[in-house]
Amino acid sequence: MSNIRRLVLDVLKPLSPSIVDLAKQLADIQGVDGVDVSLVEMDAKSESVKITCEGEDIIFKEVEAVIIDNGGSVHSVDKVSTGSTIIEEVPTHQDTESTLA
Amino acid sequence: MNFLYKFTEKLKEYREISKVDEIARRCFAKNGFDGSLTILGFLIGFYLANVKNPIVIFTTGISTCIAMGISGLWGAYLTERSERISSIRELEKATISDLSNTKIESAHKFAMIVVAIVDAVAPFVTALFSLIPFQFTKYLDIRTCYYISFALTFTALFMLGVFLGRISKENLFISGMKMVIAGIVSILISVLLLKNF
Repeated sequence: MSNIRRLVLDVLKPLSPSIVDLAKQLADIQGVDGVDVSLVEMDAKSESVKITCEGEDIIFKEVEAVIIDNGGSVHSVDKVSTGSTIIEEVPTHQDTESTLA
Repeated sequence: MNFLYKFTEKLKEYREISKVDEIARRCFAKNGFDGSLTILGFLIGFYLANVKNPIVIFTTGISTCIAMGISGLWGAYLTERSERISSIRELEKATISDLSNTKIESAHKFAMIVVAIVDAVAPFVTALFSLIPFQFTKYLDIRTCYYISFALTFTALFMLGVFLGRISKENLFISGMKMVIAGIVSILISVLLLKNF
């Protein structure tokens, strides 16, 4: 089975630990080369974040375990890229039409 | 060395998550103050009753210290535990997830223990500090021991005030004196009430 090279997750987590600590911990996972955590929405006690992990061989279970250990929960897996090269999403006519509309 | 580094990093992380520093500081100042004032009242009582046996003063004082320590340990642990459990439940509702066996739960458990220890140690240490002179009754007159003990209690109160002043970044002397005044008020009320007995 091919490796996961990019993973985009929608995560709901408590305000503490901060996204700085969470990003550092995710980057420490073996197979993860880089991490991007962006704040999407903030509440009084929780925040929604978009987590993007890139690497040679990302183990989803390990990424999920770190998120759960930090009190977060994966709401959805928004994007997964696998294979020997990362393929970017190609815009189609439908996408262009919806953008124009 | 690596283990020590990992351990200190974990403690740092737990402190940040549970925000225990602020609570522990507050507990230290409040219970240290309680310890000092309790032992001051206890010493004034013995002084006015003209108790001259150092063994009686010291053993009763130590028992009081232990009782204050145990009271702090139990009381703080149980109250902090219920507060923390309630806060975890609220956080679970907010994040729609189970926080059992997570770093968050461990951090809150760590905070319960730290607060309980600080609550126990602070009154014990400040009260014990005031009793030190009664260990030197072989070399000192009992009245001198009382006076040194009062001086040590006021020093402890002043230092607690300085500690609070450093936190609030206010004038350290004024902050220390505010605590000392509490001790003076305590002595005055005791003397006024007990002088007719």
